[in-house]
Amino acid sequence: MTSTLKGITLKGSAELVAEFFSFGINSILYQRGIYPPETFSRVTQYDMSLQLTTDTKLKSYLTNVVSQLKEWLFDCTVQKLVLVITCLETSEVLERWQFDIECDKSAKEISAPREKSIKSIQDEIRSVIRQITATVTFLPLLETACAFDLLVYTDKDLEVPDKWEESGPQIIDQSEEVRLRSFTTSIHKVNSMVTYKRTDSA
Amino acid sequence: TMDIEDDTTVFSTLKSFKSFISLPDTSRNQGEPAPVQSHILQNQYLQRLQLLEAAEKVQSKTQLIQLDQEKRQMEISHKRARIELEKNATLSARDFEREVDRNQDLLGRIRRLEEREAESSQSLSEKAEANRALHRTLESLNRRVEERDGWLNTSNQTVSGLKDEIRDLKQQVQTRDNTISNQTLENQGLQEQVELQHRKYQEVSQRCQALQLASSTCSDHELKIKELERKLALHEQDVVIVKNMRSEVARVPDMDKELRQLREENVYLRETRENVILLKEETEGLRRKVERMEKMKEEMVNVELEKEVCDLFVVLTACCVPCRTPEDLSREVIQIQQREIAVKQHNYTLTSSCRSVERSKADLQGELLSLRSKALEEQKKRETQESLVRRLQKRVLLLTKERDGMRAILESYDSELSSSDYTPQLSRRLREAEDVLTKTQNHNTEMEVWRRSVCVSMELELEVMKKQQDSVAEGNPLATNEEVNTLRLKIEELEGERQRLEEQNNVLELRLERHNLQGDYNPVKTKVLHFSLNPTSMAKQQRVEEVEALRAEVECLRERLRSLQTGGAVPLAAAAGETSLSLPPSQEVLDLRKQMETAELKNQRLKEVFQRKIQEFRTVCYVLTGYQIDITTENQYRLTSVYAEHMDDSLLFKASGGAVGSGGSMQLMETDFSRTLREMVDLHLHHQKSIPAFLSAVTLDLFSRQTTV
Repeated sequence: MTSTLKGITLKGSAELVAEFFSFGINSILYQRGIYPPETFSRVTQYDMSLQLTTDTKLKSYLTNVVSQLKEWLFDCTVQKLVLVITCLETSEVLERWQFDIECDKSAKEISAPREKSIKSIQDEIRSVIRQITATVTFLPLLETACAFDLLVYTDKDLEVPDKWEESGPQIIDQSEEVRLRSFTTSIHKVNSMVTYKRTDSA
Repeated sequence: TMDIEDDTTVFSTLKSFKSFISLPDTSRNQGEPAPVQSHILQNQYLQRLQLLEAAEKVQSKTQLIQLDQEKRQMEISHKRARIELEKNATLSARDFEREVDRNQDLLGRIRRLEEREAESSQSLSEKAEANRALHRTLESLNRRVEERDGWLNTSNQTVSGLKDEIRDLKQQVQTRDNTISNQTLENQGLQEQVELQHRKYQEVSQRCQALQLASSTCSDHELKIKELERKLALHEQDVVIVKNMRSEVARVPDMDKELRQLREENVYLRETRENVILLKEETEGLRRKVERMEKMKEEMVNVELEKEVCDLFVVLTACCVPCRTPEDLSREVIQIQQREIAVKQHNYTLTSSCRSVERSKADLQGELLSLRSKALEEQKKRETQESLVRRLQKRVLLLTKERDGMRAILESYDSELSSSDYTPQLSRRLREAEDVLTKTQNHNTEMEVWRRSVCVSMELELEVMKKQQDSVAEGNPLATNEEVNTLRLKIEELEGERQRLEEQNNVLELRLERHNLQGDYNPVKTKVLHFSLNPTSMAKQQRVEEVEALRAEVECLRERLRSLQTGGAVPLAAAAGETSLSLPPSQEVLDLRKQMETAELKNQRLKEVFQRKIQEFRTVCYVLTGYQIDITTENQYRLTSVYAEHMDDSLLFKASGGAVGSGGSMQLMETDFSRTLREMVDLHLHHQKSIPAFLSAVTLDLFSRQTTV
């Protein structure tokens, strides 16, 4: 839809960012081996081949979260999206993939589309996803069985929709942080960073 | 009655008419009927006659009735008339009586009136007499009245004279009253004036107080102005210093750039040192060459000089210069060259001086501008101060005028009111006001003096600055150097602080960044949400369920193990019945099961074979030896013969000392049957000590018994 229009509107920007999150989360799940690789299928997006899950339960969960996130992006009430990887045996958090979202609230009042080409945004997103794939090389191995969770940092006064609940930030103690690339649609700016538990062997 | 009469007449006429009509009918019908009809007609005629008589009777009765009624009516009317007449009579009688009474009353009245008349006439006569007497008295009285009138007139005259006097006196009183009222009015006016003056005096005193306050505030303000001006001067100095420092600080980035450049040059120079060394070696080589070349050159130069000298000589000889020898030429050339050098030096000195002068001019211009601006500011200050002074002077004039006016008023009061109680107080207050005025005047004069001094000092400063402007090249005075040093120290301290604060800021920013990366948030503004049915919670639930399932399996397996240990092959069947466990049967288990089955089959077959064989052997033994040997208990054997007479006839042997094969002996036990075979026992067992012989003897015996019997 947005690729045919010339400029970026708030709605278009929200859709782009939500799409990025959907593919980015799938990539992280594939790369970190949270789900077995045979449950992923290859698709082409942003001029690169990405892995997308075929597990129906996971798909439905992701669509629920991403659709709600799209609404919140449109309202500019969401501040961060965090993918938390927890070890099932010890219930401790091993990795945190955090995406900070900075929204230009003036786009809510001024509905004129902004001058930024879709291609440049896609290029930026491509470089971010490539970097995510590259960071996996230096992250510590996840040897135990892990599960993931998606946390959303929103404004305090936001009405909590049903099926959602409040949770803690699930911060890792003794962590190493790495800041990754960011991309911007001129309305939403997304900064990526990964935090992982420091391994004592290092 | 008339109607009744009419009716009756009508009835009677009708009757008569009917009777008349009926007659001709009968007359008509006479011809036809027979004498029967005539009887009928006679009857009818008689009937009609009777009827007519009845009708006449009735008529007469009615007439009678009518007459009776009339009579009664007549009697009633007669009675009525009588009653009325009686009434009228009674009424008239009463009237008559009344009239009679009236008459009598009237007669009585007449008599009384007559009596009264007589009396009145008497009285009249008496009164007439009295009247005459009265007339006489009247006359006497009139005389007295006249006398008294005369007296009255005289008295009236005197009274009028007195009234005139009274009027005069009243007028006098009035005039005096008027004068009194006028005087009271004047008094009131004067009192009001006094009050006005009081008020004015109070106002004046208030104004004096206000003036005092104003003067005090003036003095405060002046002090403040002084302080502010001092601060201003300090500020200006600080501003100047700050400007200088800013300019110096502005140079800092340039200095940084130069530093960087110099560092880069340094690096470059260090890099090129080696090249320099090489180049030096080259230069040494080249120098030697150069020396050789120089020598060559010198020779060349000498040669050329000689050539030039010759040329010059040739030229000069051509130009007719008064010199013949090349020495003179050379001398002249040297002189010319020296002159050239001198001129060039002069030129250089002039240009250098020109440049220095230009530089100084530029500096002076800058300073001129700054000084002009300062002069303007000071002029402005002077102007404001002059305006302040003018205002103060005006105020002073106003106050003096007021004071003069007050003084005049007070003097007027003093002149008017000689002995009043206000003067000492007023004079005291006047004195105080005068003192205040003099003080304010003094203060004003002091202010003017101060202002003048300030102006003078400003002018002096201006002159000093102008002198400074003139003599800028002499350099800065020493006092500013110290200030500059102190300011530099301050700047260094501030820079140190700034660096510290920058470092702290950086550290804090790093911490913030770190916290932000770790995922910290401000709970006042943010909250964290997640989907309730998220994969982690579901995985945890699954885990818990798996753990519970595994525990349940473990329990089942333990129970199986226990049952396996206690039972034998039974649990297999029991396990098959247990449907809770659905372990996938592994290959080993299947093999083992097969092995088990084969082993069981083997066992069973072996058992069958053994059974058969044993059965065979026992039957063979029985058949061949004639004895059935049973093992009753351990080491006890019961033998029953083929030819036994009774079923219970049996011999018991006990193997003592363990099993038979291992060296133990057999002994016969006492039974009922054995008692019957005592002889044989003694013979074969006790004497011959042979059990087979005994047994065979017994069989023979029994056989013999059997066959014979």
